[in-house]
Amino acid sequence: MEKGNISAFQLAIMMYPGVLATGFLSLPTITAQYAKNDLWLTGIFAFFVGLASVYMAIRLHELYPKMTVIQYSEQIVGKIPGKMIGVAYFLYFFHGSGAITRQYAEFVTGNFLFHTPIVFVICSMLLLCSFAVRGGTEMLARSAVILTPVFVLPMFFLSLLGADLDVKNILPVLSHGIMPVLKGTISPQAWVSEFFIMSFFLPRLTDPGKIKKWGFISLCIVIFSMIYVNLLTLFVLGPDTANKTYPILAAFRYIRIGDFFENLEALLLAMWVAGNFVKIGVFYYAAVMSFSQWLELSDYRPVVFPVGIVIASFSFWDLPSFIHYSSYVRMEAPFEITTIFFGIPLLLFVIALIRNKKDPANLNANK
Amino acid sequence: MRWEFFWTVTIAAALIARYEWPKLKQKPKKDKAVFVSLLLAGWLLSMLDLPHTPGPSTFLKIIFKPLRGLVEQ
Repeated sequence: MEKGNISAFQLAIMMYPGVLATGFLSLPTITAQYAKNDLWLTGIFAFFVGLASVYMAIRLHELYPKMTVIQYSEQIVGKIPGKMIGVAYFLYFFHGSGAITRQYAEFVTGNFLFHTPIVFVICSMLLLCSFAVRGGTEMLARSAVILTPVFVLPMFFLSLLGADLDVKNILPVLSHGIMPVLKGTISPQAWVSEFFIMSFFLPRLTDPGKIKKWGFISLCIVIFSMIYVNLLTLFVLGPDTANKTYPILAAFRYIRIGDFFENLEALLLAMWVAGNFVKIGVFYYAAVMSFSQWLELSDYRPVVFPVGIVIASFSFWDLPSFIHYSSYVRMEAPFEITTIFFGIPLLLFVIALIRNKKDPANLNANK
Repeated sequence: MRWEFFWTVTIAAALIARYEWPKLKQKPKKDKAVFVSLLLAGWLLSMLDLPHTPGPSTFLKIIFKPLRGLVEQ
């Protein structure tokens, strides 16, 4: 159905904005609301969930080579339950891509393009992404390789804050015990579990042997970036971090070198648009692939644009305002994402292990 | 917002149908049926007053109600 091929390195690059593009937008404020000045610790706990997601995606692909989660779920739990899992996946990806696009559009219209209709921001981004998705995995991977360095740049700019950093903001460490940190981890761990989306790209790899190494490196860099950004916003904003909608943007406004190098937040926007393009592209691709594999279509390309329309609808559906949206991101999204990228894969993984242990011939038959 | 979105979708759907259909002609019947029904689904959705129609987030709110205590402060 799809012929493009990518390397493990490209996949690792693609996963970085694939997890963090919206992570940078919404995570620091959510975690700060629970964990206060311990927000940087949440990344450490999230690491283990991410590790489990990467491991499950790779192991399941080893057990059922050249298949995505939609295809092997039918082999693992049987035809009808497998199809039901497939429905859950493609519905989630429609909704998830819509929610991500909405997040991006709210950020753009809320901070920079105040008078631009949100419909325009959403539709133009989805149009761009649909061209990338239609071009196939290879196109998505190559644009990710070009754009991810741009997306990483703001991290280095943050270190220009120098004089504004107040390291004492980190104290007192764990003054309220470990519980607030664990509560604050609920959102970041969901974001990191998105690494399971790899499952849709693993069948396209030319060097599957290297993905263990690259997947692990990508995860470590994601976790490191999370902790780094959380620490820097904490140093700049202190206890105020929880009150800002976009703490990183607020920290960026403090950057000032000499008397002429300021207002860098416009640069931040331009760079984050690049990152969000990759993230929406990755989720859009997963939506199209899960939908067309579920229906066993002969080609995924014709449905790319119609799926885009459905995703655009989902980005407005049931979300009248930003208030509703942020309540959804805080209250429902963490569980929704965890179920799809951690719960269901864990179930599949355990059943697959038991089945293959019972009947080793079954494993060989699948190869 | 409502009518802007409706007209955007209508025009987009018309353009998609115009440019994709010739390539779909040799494809199996199932592909054509899926293509048409997806376009129709998107178009029908755009007719609703989407932001105020109960949908996915209401559904998720009901499903994950037992877990809400974990994230409420």
